[in-house]
Amino acid sequence: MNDTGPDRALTPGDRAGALVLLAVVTVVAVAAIVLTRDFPPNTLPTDVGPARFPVLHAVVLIVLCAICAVETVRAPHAAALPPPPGARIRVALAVAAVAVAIAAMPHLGFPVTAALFLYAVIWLMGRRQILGNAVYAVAASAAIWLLFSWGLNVPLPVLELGAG
Amino acid sequence: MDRRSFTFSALGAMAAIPLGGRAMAAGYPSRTIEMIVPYSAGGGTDLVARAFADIANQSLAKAIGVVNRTGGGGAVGLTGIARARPNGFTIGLGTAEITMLPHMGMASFTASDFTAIAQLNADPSAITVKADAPWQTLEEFLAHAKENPGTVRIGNSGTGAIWHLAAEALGKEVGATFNHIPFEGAAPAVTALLGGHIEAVSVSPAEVSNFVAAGELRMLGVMADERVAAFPDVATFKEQGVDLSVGTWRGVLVPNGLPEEALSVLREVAATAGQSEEFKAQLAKMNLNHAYMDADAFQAKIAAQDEFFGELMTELGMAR
Amino acid sequence: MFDFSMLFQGVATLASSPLALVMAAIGVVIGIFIGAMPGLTATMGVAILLPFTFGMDPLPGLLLISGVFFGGVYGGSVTAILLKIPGTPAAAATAMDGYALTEKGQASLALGTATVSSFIGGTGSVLVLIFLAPVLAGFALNFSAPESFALAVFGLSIISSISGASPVKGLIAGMLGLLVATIGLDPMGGFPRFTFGFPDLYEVPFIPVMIGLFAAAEAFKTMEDPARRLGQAARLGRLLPPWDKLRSVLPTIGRSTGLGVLMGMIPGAGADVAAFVSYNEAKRFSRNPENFGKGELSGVAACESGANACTGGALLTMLTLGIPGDAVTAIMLGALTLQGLQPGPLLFQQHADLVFTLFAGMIFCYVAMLVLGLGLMRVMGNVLKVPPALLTPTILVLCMVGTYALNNSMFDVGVMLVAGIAGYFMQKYGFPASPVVLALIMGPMAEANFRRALSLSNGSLDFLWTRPITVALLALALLTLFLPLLRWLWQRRGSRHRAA
Repeated sequence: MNDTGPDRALTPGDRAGALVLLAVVTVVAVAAIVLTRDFPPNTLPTDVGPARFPVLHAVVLIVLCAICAVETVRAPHAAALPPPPGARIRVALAVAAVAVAIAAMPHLGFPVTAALFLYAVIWLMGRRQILGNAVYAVAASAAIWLLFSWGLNVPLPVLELGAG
Repeated sequence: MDRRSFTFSALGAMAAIPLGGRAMAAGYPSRTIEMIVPYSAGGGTDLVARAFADIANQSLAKAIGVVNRTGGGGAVGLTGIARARPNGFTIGLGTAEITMLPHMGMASFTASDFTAIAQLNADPSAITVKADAPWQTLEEFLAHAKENPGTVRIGNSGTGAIWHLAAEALGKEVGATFNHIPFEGAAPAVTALLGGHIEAVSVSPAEVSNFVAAGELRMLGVMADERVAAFPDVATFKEQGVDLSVGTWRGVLVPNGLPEEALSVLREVAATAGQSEEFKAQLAKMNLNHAYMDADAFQAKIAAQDEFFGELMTELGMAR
Repeated sequence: MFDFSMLFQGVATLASSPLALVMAAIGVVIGIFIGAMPGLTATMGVAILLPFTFGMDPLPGLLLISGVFFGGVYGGSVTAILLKIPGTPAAAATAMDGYALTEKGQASLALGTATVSSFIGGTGSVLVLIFLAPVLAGFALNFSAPESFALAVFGLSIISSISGASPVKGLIAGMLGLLVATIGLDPMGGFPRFTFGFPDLYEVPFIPVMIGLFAAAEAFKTMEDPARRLGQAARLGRLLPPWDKLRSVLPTIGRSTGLGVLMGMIPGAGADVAAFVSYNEAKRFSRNPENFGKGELSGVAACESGANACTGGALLTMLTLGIPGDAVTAIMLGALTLQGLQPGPLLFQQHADLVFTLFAGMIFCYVAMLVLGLGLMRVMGNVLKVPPALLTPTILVLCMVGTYALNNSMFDVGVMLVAGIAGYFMQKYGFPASPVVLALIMGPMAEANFRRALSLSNGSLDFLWTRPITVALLALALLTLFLPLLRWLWQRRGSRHRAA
């Protein structure tokens, strides 16, 4: 884990990233408070209503984000290490691959989607054995599919050709 | 947080494959039928579904596999049934919630989105108190509640769930104000009653039978038209002068628009399996009340209940 | 008051029933496997096997289910330690120090300690069940909404002790978890909060969020630098931990076992709560609390013995009162009922012979878990030898399929991905993930029980200070919350002074 305690030095990238993250969390908290305005008031005479707890959590969260932001800004500077080349793009592509797989699975079924996904991500991780990777991708997705469909009786989506 | 549910569809199906030789109709079913259960495995609804599927598979060409799709107090699974492709390969085990959730704005379906196949089980609400409570009869209990409005705490399995509405309906019927306490299911409510933290629960007889048998709880009455087989000594509300009959039911439902052939096969299979001695015995083991009802009667009951709960919830201010 | 002859008779009956012993062992293996897979839980395993037991005699059937239950609680630790993928929520606590040990190249020590701790915790809890069941039977009934609320607050206070370097960041993660935990149906009124019209969000998708935060986030992190691998960790040495190491964690195991049994007995609190509470107390009593989170062996021992000790406690409440404390025991209650054994006050009188045979079988389950667990660890340890380029993509597939299997829902897989992205950035900028998991476990428990307590007392807040258990737990929560904060502030001032 990348420790960024109060007295730990921060690289410019980490500082900016942490601040963006805090800003996102604050926006989520504010949005939550705004959304609770549409919640109905107490449904029971002895209750505090559905909005009380979310608002409480959100307010504390905003205060904590503010404290943390001040700490982050005041932390001493540190020199940045060069990140591994292409790190960001690889992570983004991996996230995209999962998203595509989720979208494709109901249509292509699990075995096909998983094999394609495995092949693509193995390639992304820099292993360039065209045949070996393909064999592994097909074998692993088939094994997982058999395990879940037969061993655990979880009906995973399958490719249905012209099924009504 | 009881979301740890899952699925294991073809379990019963696998066991039944060797038995499934006797095809009922030529075409349907040509492949495995998926039965959606909107509650988690191991629960009452799930056990009814599995017991039914096991027995029904003996007379189906392709087996029924049970799939649990939980969440939203049943809304997720029930939506799955209502919105399934009407080809007969997705059926469901529906519960009384189809007549309740839509009125609370918690479901995208309505009760009329389902076609009835058969009702399998029905459990009434029962008012149960601690064995050392001062009330021996329903009358004494209700008299106490009327004298002390808002102090009698009745535990239920969740706001808007059937047992909550049963208690609300009781309060409305006799003119008493109860303090309704929602729990995460019937078991925690019963636990609170055992610990003396509430005065009564309105859950089904099955859910308290253990403790009534052990002499720790006392059942004052059941909200049914007839006495429950497992508790022949407990009088109905009607016998005790309160005209109220509220309870849950479980039955096989399908989405509207199923082909005639599939409908008739399913109804026939449900009639055989649902009335078999084997199925009755399975339900009895689980303390569940067997109550078979054919498609027409069941469909009429759903419509009537839908109307009843719609009116009740509007009056209680719970309708959205 | 305790009849030893019953127990001896039980052991004898068990020994003459090889089928029951085989079923217990099979159950344990299935349980370990299911527990190790992200998304598959002991509850799921028990429910899968339930229909198979219908046709069996009570003893083998119930021991099969017990084996799955015990193995499932323990199995979560394997992947948590080796890959930082907690198979169960309880293992999210184990992952904190367990994975840190793997990174230091001490995977075998962590795995071995986890196994032995699970064995001691579990066996200890069954012994409590055997000898103290009548004494402790009523304990669960003292727990009403105010007590459960206080327990949840105490659980939440643990966030401060699992926050790592920066308490503020840990608290932010925890509060974010609490806010996320309010998604879904409002526990009192049934109003859908922050669901945006999706019925899939009526309940907090807890397990998908956990899989995303830990497993998917870790996989995304690996993508940054595919060449990095756990060099020396790839070797598994001796699995049975050396005696001096074991001896040093024995007091922790003993204390955690006691805590685990208590947590197990309380309805609504399970192995997850027990693991975090045990971790917190292990840290509180430790001579070097600063090592926790960086690969402290007693952290692993505490979580595992606490989580497994829960099993005996949960069974105690279920068997003596007929009250299921969690989802697994709820299914077991059904299994017993179907076998014609009504759990509750009468069970011990009417079926004493079977009950004691069952207890003997449960001890056997734990012995089997110790032996099989050590063997399976050796096999599972090979996963570290798989090149990351193959392992990471496979983990991502397992995350997707495990999440899907949970509820047959692609929506949940999407939730898992969102949590994975969030977890990746949280990790990158020093926000710990375990407070989120803890908040997701405790948040709904705290809110529902606070509001229920308020209703039970007709709107009066008196319950906060008039009930002894509630007061004690709330005091403990304050102590847990503020001691590390004060210590941290003190150190900060100290370092400022030095700097100036």
